[in-house]
Amino acid sequence: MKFWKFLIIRILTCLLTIWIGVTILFFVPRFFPSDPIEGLVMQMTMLYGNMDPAMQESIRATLQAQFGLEGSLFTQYLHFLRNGLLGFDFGPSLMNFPTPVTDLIAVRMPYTVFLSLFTTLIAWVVGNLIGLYAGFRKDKRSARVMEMVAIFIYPIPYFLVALILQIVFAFLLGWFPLTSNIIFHMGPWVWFTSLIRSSILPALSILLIGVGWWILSMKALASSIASDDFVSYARYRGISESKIAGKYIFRNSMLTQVTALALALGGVFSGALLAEIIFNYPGVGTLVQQAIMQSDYNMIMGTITISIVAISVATLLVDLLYPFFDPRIRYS
Amino acid sequence: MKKKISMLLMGCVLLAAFAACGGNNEPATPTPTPAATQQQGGVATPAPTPTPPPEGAALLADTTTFLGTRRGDTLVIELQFPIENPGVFNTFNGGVALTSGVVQLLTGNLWNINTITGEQFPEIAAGFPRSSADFMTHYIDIRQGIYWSDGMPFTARDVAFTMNMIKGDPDIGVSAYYNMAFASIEAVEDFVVRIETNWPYLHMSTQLGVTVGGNALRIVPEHIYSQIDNVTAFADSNPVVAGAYTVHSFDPLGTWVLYQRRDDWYRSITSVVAGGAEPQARYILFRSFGDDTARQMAMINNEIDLMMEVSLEMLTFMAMNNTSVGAWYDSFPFATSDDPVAKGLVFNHAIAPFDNRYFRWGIALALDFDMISLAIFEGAGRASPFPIFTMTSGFLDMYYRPYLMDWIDNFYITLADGTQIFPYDRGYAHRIANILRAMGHDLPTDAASLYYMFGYGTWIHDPAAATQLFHMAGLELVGNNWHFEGQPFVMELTYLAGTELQTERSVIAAFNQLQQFGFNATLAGKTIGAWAVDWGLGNFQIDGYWPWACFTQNVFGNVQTFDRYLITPVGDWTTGAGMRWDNVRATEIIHELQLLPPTHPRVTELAIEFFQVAVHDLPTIGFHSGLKFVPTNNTFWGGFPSAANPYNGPWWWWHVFDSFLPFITPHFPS
Repeated sequence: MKFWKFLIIRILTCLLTIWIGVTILFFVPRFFPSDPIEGLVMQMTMLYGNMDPAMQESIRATLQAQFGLEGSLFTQYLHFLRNGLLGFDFGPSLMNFPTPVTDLIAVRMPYTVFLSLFTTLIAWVVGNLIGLYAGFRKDKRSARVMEMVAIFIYPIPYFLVALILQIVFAFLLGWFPLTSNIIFHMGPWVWFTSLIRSSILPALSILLIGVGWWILSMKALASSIASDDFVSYARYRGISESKIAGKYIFRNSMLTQVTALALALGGVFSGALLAEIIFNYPGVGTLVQQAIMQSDYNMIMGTITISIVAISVATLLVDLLYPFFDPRIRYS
Repeated sequence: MKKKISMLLMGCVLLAAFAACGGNNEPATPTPTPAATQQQGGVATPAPTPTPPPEGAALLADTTTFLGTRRGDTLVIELQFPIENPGVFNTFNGGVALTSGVVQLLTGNLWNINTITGEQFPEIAAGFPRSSADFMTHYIDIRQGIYWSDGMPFTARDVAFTMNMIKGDPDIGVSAYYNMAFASIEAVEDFVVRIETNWPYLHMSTQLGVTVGGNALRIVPEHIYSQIDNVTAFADSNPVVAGAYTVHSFDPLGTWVLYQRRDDWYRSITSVVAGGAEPQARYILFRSFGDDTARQMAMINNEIDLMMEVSLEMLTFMAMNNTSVGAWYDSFPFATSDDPVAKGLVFNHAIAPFDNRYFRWGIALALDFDMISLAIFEGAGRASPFPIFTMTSGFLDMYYRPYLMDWIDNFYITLADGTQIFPYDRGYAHRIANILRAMGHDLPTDAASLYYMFGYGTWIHDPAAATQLFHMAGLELVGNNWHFEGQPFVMELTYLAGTELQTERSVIAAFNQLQQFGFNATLAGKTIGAWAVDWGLGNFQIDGYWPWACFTQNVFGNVQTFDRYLITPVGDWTTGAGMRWDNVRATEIIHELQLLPPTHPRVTELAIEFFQVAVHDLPTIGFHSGLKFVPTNNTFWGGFPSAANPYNGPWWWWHVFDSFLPFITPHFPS
């Protein structure tokens, strides 16, 4: 009974979080001193040079009607809650009218997820294993070297790592393309190999930065737990070192790391923005960037709503899965 | 080995840092004097380009691009941004990426423009409109011999259908305007369109043709579009085109589009207009390369032939690392100065003291243009100090040299103490050239070349006169700070951030100097959406905007938004220029121009008078004409527009690019 009460409260909290998030998301861009229609009219004026004022007015009125931006802010908000939040229909992209936002996101989302999900999971696994070793065997030289490497990599700004990889492996050595070249029209094998070739450098850059954090956090946890009494007691009892590392230290460290992983996985949906820009990788991140620059409200709401929902749901799931990681936690 | 790798990395980082700092110690090669542009049937004919391709390029030309096309047959042009909605080639669909080759390669306009001479030329039209005496009925002759890519002839019916389609579809942006302006549009013969207008329509070729970068009237094939119910939602992924290229393939993720030359290219608009000339590139690949670092590396690696405009620092860095990379000039100052929008300062005339002529003149004379020029692009660029009008090559030929040069030399302002100040400084070109020579640049010495490169003059730097002018405008100097109406005076300078480097640097340079002059000034960058709103509502004080653009002799299109009857109070939208310049005589001139045919001799007289009125009032302060650093790579292709070969401006992202195609030639054709 207590579990069901916990579950209901937790789900309600999750829904409340999502509602607050999307409400802020809806209103904040609209309070910017910015207007997508005026931005578009201005871009046309820049391209055409001069426009008859009557022609400008004609374009402005048409866009106003098409974009559905007439009506009060509250009416637009209700429309967004009904269609966007409940139906995941965010309307047309204002900058790509009348193509629906969901169509544009759907094309790019798999690439963002592919890149971010794999790199996040690999970084998590590799980082935690190295961190565990560094924390458990902290007096060994190899452990100290690994820790030093992590300390060196972690604070480097992401763009610098990406830039160095790009300069060395793409520009100087020519092993990988400078920017992504994913080829569709020459069959699935060409598509697959081009995808892998285009993804290696962005993935490696995200991995290098990500793994540093996991090593350091896991090392701190593991070294702290390794000095606990129950670990010393296990040693006195003659339990093997590998068992102590796996069952005593690793499992006790996992709770924190799983929570952090859930948050990181939720963030996957918002895209690896910098990686996408630097390597011209075709993901959702570049859509977000352009949408913010051009006040494409629907696109902003579409991409970030998905991210809010993903993070909230991932956090909820982790809360529910805690007992499986740590039997000491019970909801009853 | 470790040492080598670390040295390599260090070198790369240092190189990038140098690029960012904008160092330029590369000695420039002698700059050629601009050649005269020849006109043939309204289309510019270039002089031959002598620049040889680099050694070893022939072998590389036989390699293939990542799409399998031969590099030597593929002209690679940079896409500024990835296409968000790939596969849309219908120009009436709001999701189309117009400059990804769509408006340059697939379609044409009734009239287009040579941006060097400022002359419009008939493109789809066979001539200029034949209008009735009252300018209510107009006939447009359509060129014969153009065919759509599916073999159907291009006729007057396509033109009439397109215009009627616009009228009949309220979802097309200009539909309401077409309904207001045009009573009927009809193909009266196979190659003649008749248009009845609702008012005397004197400016048809400028309203429906290209005068700067493009025009919304792009003709579609009737036999395709008449079958479509919802035109604005139609993607047209496999378009039937009248241009010389068809879509070969495109990336569903939007990073590239590959175009292929039509087998019957000689029946395309491009070729027919060019008198049968062949577009030289077999394939044209528009491709996005990501951020600035990747773009530079791709250009140095010869992966790009024609690039979107960059900063001087980027161009210098690329040219240092690849001798085949050049631009309008092959060395400093690199840029063309023929973009028709002078960048500088625009004042909001609805707010005091910015509405005061003496204040604006005070700002002009308080600024040291030499320093501003060096701060923007190290002295590159043609000075263009005049309001509304820009010192393009065409303007120099049409107006400045024949009509305005003597007048501006003798123009003066009378100060409160009776002193007459002659504010026009003719010494700038020689002065800046000397400064640049001292910095190591090799520049021409003849006056004509220097004037072409750096402009004829600018406003003098005269702090004493500026101080008097500020006093005349009601400002007081209290201690080291300026006060207005008894209060400390604070003014805000704004600019469009991130996309217009010349404007951004202009405003920042002016801001620094005005602070040194004792003004409490603030500075803010804005996104395009915010900037456009503030412009329309008048929520700015001094902005780095350019509310003008003109190549043509008939300046009506350039000045029409300065009509004082379009001015609204600050906070209300205006369809006129957001700067709200209120000048009675200027408005009278606009109204008179509106009623004159474009070729009427009075048009020139009125333009001259408008110029004089504007200089007297100085509603804006220009710094340089629009500078464009458009990098070209001579490894595989030559014949790009340049100072030595100025058959048009280098703006390949404008509609006029199709007229370049016969002149951009492969060094190693298959």
